Amino acid sequence: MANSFKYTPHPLAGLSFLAGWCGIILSTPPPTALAASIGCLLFAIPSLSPRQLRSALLAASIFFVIITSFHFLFDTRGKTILFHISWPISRPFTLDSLQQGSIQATKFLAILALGSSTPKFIPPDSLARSIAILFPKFGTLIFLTLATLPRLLSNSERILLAYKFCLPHHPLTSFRILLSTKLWLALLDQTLADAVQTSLSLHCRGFGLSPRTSAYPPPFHPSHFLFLISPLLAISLLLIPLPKIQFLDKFIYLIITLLPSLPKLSSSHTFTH
Amino acid sequence: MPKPITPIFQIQNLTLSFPAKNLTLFHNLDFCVHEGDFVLICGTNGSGKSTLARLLTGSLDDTSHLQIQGKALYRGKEIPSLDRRYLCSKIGAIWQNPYAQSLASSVELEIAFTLENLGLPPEKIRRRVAEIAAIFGLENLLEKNPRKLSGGELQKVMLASAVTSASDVLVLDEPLSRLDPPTANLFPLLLEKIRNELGLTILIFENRIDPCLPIVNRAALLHHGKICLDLPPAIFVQNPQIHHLGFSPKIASWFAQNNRPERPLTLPDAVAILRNNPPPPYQKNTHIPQPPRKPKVLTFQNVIYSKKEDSFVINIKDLSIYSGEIVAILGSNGAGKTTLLLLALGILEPTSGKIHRNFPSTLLNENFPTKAFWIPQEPEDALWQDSVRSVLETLTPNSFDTPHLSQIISRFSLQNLLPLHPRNLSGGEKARLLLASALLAQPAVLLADEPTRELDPRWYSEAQNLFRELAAAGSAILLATEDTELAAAIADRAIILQRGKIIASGPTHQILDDGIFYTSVENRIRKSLEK
Repeated sequence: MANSFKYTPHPLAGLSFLAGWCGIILSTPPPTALAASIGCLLFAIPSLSPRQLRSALLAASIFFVIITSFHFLFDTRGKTILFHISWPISRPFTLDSLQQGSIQATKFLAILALGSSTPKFIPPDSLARSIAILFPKFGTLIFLTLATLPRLLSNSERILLAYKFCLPHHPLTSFRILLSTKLWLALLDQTLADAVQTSLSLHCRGFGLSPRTSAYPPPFHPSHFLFLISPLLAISLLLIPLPKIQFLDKFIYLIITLLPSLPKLSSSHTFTH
Repeated sequence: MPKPITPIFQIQNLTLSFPAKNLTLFHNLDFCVHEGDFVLICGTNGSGKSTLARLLTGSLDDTSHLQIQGKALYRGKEIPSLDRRYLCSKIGAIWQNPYAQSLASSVELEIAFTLENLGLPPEKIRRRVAEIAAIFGLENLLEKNPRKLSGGELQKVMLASAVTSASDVLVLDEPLSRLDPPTANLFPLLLEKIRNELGLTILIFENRIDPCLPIVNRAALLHHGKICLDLPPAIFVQNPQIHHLGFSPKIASWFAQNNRPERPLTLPDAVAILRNNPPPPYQKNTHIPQPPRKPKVLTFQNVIYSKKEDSFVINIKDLSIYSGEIVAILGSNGAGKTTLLLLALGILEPTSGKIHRNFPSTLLNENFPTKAFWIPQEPEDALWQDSVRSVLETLTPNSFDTPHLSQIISRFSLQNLLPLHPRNLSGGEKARLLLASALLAQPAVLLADEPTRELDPRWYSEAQNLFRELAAAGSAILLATEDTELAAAIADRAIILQRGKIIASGPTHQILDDGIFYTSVENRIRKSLEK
C-alpha cells in the first residue's frame, strides 16, 4: 500500500525548516532579514494556488500599508527628514522610518506566506502529531488551527459572494464598511462553528492520547536533509567572518535569498500530495 | 445461571438543562439500547439529538453550562467516569459535516487515525485499514486527499474510520443531512452491511427517515425532552403522532393521502398491497397545458461559465424563466445548481454568452430595494444583521408595526426570536426567517437554494404554501433542490442539470414521469405496478 508520507519531508525536517527561517527573519538585522524574507516569499508563493495567492496578496497589501504607515507615523528616528509638522505636536517624518516600516512589513509578509504554504510541505496532521507527542494540548490547538485555515479560505469565498449580493442595495460608504465588518465576523463565526465539529471529531477519535503510533512511521529520505541544511547553511554563512572571504562578501545576500528554495532542488513531487 | 445481559447504553431519569438559557432539553429521559440493536432516533429541530449523541459518546464536556441529573451508562458504567481511550476503542462516532471531521492528508491515514491515537502497532493498523478499505470499496481512494472527495465518499471514509476502531457501537449524528438523495439512500445499506458483518450495535440520529426505516429494528421519536415513541419501524410508521409531526416516510404518506389504512415502508411492500387492492387507474397526463406566457424575467443565451482552477463548466444554451412560474432545478451534488443561481443573480459573471434580466418593478414591494431575493444554501450567508428584528426591519424600513408584518411574524412563529441574533438560531429557525423575509420582500425573482433542507416537516409544508403564494403574486421562483417530492408538489417546470448542462427540461409532471430516480413516489409506485 502506498505511503503518502514518502512525498513529503519528515515532519521534523519540515519543522526545522519553518522554525529556522522564521528565526533568521526575526533575529537578524535588516539587510539579512530582508534577503531571507524575499527568499521565503520566493519559496512560498509558487506553492500557493491562484485563489490562495489572491487572498494572501489582499491580506498582505492591507498589512503592508498598516505596518508601514504605523512606522511612518509614530517612528521619528532617522536623519533624512522628508517633512515636518508643527500641529498637534511638533515632529518630523523621516525616510528612515518609512524604510524601517517597509522592512518590518516585508518580514511579516514572509512569515505569513511561509505559514500559509506550510500545509503544502508538511501535512497538518503530521505537523500536529509531531508537536502533540511533546505537548498534547498545544498539538490539538495546532491541529485545529491548521485544519481551520483552509476552511477560512473556502468560507471567505462564500462570504464574498454574500457581500456582493448585499452591497448594491446600500450605496453609503459607512454602511459598506459596517457590512464588510459584519460579514467578516460572520465568516469567523462560521469557521469557528466548523472547528467545533473538528474538535468533536478529534476528541472521539482519541487525538492526544499517548503513547501514539503511526501506520507509516515517516521515513527520513536523504533529500529531506535539504530542509535541514537550508536554514543551517544560512546561519553558518552569517557566523563566518565575511570580510576574509571576498566572494561571499559580495554575494551573501543573493545566496541567502536563494537558500530557502534549496529543498525544491530535491524533486518536483516533494510538494505534491 | 446465565449472566444477565447489560444494555449497551442506558439512560435513566436524565434531566439536562441550560440554566443560563432557562432551557430544559431533556426531562426525566429514559432510554435503553441493547446489544445488536439498530436504532433510529428522529426529532424536530432543537429537540436535542446532537446533545444526546454527544452525551453517549462522552464528548459532552461543556459541563459548566449544563445541569445534568440522572444517569447515562455505557455497559453499566457512567459514561463521564470512563477512560477516553476505552471509550474511543469501543464507541465510534460520526457527525453531520464530513469535511469538518476530516483530519488527515490521505484517505488511508484518515482511516488509520484513531488506531494510531490508540497506539496500535503499525503492522496491525495497516492490516485493519486494508481490510476495512476492502469492505467499504475504498481501495482506489486510499491515496487521495479526503478534502477532494465528494460529500458521500468522505462520509463513507469517516464511517470506515469509525468502524476500524470501534469494537462495540456506532453513534451517528445526522450523517445523511449533507448527502444528496442517491448517496443518502445507499448509506444506510452500508450500515446494515457492517452491522451484519461486524456485529456492531448502531444508533443513528436522523430526520431523513425514509432510507433508514426499512433496515432498523427500532425507531424512536425524541420530542419535548422525552423519547415519546420507541417501536419496531412497521408499527412506528402507523402511529398518528408521526404523521402529525410530519415524520411519515414518503411511501406511507402517499397511502395516507390516498385515504388508505396501510403504511408500507418499502416500494415492494407498497406494490404487494396495491396488487391485491389496486388504486383507481392512473390517468397519465399526456396533454401539456400551455399556461398563458407572462413576461420573461430571466433569459440565459449560450451562457458558459468556467472556473479557472478546475474543469467545471456551466453551459446553458437557452433557458427562460417567466414571471409567476416556479422552476425546479434538479441534480446531484456538484451538478451546478448553486452556480446557476449565482449567475442568475449576477453575483457571478458568465465567461461568455448573455443573461438578460428583466425584473418588472411593478411586482416589487415598494419598500424593498432589490428585485431579486436570494435564499442561500447556508442561510447564515444572508443573515448579517444584529437581530431577527433588524433582518425584518431592513425589509420594512418605514414602519415595523404593520399588520402585514405581524401576520408574517406570527405565521412563521418568529415572535420569541425577534431579539435574538440570527446566528444563534437553529438551522430550521434560520431557514424560517429567510422564508418570512422572502414573503415580506415579494421580489420579482426568488432564487432559493435548497430552502427546505433544514426544515422539519411542519415548516416544510408551510414553505410549499409560501412558494405557491409568491408565484401567484407574480414572482418567478427558481428553486435548486434535490427533493423531487418538493418539485412534484409545487414546480410548474423542472430542469435536470448534470455537470453544468441541462439534460432534461419540461413540465414537472412530464420530467418526473420519465425519470427513474428523479421521479416522485407516486410515479415509482405506478411504474412498479405496471411491470
